[in-house]
Amino acid sequence: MKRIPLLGAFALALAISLALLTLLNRKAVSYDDGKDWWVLSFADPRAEKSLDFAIENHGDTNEFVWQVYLEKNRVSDGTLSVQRGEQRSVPVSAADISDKRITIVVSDGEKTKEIYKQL
Amino acid sequence: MLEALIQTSQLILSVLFLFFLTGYAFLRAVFAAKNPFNSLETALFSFGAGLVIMDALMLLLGKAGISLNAASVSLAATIFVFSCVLFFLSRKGVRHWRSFLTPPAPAFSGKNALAVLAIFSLALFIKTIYLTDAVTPTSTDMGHHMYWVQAVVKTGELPHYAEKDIVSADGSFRIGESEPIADFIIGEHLPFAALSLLSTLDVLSVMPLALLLLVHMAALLSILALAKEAFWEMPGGRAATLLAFFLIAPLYAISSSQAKFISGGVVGNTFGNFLIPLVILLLAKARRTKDAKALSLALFLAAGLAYTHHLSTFVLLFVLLFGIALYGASHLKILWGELRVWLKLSFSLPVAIALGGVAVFVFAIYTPTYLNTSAIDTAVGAPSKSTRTGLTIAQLALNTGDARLALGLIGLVAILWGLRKQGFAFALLGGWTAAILVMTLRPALLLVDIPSTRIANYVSFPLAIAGAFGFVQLMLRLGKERPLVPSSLALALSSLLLLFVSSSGLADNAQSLGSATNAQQAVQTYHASRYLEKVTDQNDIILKDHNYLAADAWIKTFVTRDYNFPLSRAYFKRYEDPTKPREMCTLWMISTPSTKEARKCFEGTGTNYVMVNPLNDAAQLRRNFDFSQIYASDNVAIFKRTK
Repeated sequence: MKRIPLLGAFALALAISLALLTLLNRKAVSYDDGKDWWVLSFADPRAEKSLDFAIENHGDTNEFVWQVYLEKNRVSDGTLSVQRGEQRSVPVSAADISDKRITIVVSDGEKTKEIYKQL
Repeated sequence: MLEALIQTSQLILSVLFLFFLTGYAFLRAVFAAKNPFNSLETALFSFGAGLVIMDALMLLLGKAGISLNAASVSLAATIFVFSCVLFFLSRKGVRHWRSFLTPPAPAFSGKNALAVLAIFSLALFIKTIYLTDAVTPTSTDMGHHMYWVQAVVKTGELPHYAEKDIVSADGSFRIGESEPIADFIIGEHLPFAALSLLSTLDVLSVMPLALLLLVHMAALLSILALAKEAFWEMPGGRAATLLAFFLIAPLYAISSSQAKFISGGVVGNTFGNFLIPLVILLLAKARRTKDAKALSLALFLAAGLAYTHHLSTFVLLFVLLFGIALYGASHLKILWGELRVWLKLSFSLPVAIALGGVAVFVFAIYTPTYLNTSAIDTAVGAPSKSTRTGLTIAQLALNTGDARLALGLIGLVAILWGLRKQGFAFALLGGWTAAILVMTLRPALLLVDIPSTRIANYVSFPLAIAGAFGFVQLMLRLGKERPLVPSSLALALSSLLLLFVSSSGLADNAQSLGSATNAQQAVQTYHASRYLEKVTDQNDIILKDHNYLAADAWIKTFVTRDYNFPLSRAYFKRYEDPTKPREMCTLWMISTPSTKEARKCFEGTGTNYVMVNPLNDAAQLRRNFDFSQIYASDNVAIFKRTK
């Protein structure tokens, strides 16, 4: 009977298996592939007088509404368009504020997230 | 798609170069005159030796103060390969350079080769399907191991196995000094680090899973090679060989010690289950061919095992003791002659070189971290806990599969029955099965003080070989000239038995499929970790939760500041275990951050960042005015302590 290149066949089967797992792993660890989430964070959490915040979008909704609260009073607001895979920042100054809680509230129309600093 | 193919190519080429080429060159240098192994054995010994060689080369580089990076590691491997080629040519003669690449004899041909390929492909298919749900790096054990791999890749230095923990004194708390860790062994991490450096694939890629899968598939093939060595020439031996491969490869393909160990990152056991059968196979070959070089290669691989996994090395010692005792007891009349053969093999130049090399490594270059009194004391002695007093047969059956255990026990009886007429390989197989069964079921008899479930993870491999032998012997008995039952009934019985074993094994596979991890939660943890790496420095102390955060064990692969960093709130039950009192700060600082005790913990340890799942743990931190929340996603919230 004809000789079968057994090791070559093993190697080919393993290569196919590894290629499939690599493809799926890349999808799994990708922020965007098959995912729907976004994140709100302070650009510089260590800076006491900076309230600049960033929205990084890995979801289907691109339009975000943001509001800044000083304690319970809204002091500014706006909208921001962030495409999937993008991060955009909004500058907010806290130069004259002390002993107050500043809260940033962001909504994509479905979910709302907030971050805050105790100044 | 194209990038995935490029990554796969990088991975495969790096594995071939680092582990197969170095191992093959070494094998041909040792066996310059003639390669005594068939193609399957050559591939397996090359891979096994390659793993050990890369450990050794990286240890030498690290100890020489040379930075471990892609250039130094590949250069060291290249120099090693050329040295082996030169050594081969010096022994063989330059004119015979082509023989370096002469393909070895095929291991299987014709229908047997087709059967082996079909079994291998089925096993790989089942395992791959299972692993498609495990490609997201979330496993806690894998995360712990990959911290050390990442530490090597980032620093270019050998890992220093130590950690800092929270200590309390006089009612206050602080982060203590670095204490050595004996649980990790360097051979579990250096092959991954070498592969990561050369392939440029990081620890979040498929690289760790891929290397474990390759080692595991090689372990299954080593069972095939070992069964062939022991059974092939016996009546029914070919069927027994193929059946052994069938019992270990596609059946129970996902159970513990198989695909679950790959996805779970159980590195040491997976490597151990590959190197143990290789050492046994080489010892059997050394005795059969009276070849001291085979014995020296067995010692080399055993030393590699000792640098990779202490428990596997411990198990191997018992396996060899049992095997030698069984062989001696069943060959009393020729004992003196056997002793002379082994003395001649042992007092030879190849063995002296192997032993000398190992001694130099252990005493002058790198001593495995577990070689200290406390580690040995914890493994040897009367069982100290209820989890170490042995499993029941029913518990063991859950681990190995009831059908495979039943066949394996029949096989062990058949092996012991036939010991007197068979060679050393047979005795080693009997010793392997018997030793692990006794260590699992009755550890007190051997003064073994190790969790019995951990030993049970080794039992599937010898049981598969013993079970195959037992099955074939049973069939041969039924089909003798004066059969116990008519041949048609024998055929029906054997078919039923095989069907029972197969359905049991495949049903176990089916039950284990379908537990997908949530990649969306895991990537949020990776993202938050990258954020913390960016906004914190060496003076900041981070605390995270292990109960509700996905993939939290991987956070430390991003920040790589200490094995125990970030600090972690462990599973709640661990704080309630009266036998293992532990620090409570990590619990208090997340669960009750406003209490007096928690405040003392924050102040004493300097903890200023807390990472939790907002669905479970944000409320109590938001109520506390000492904190700002600086990061918010669906599944991760990060708080910064500001006061």
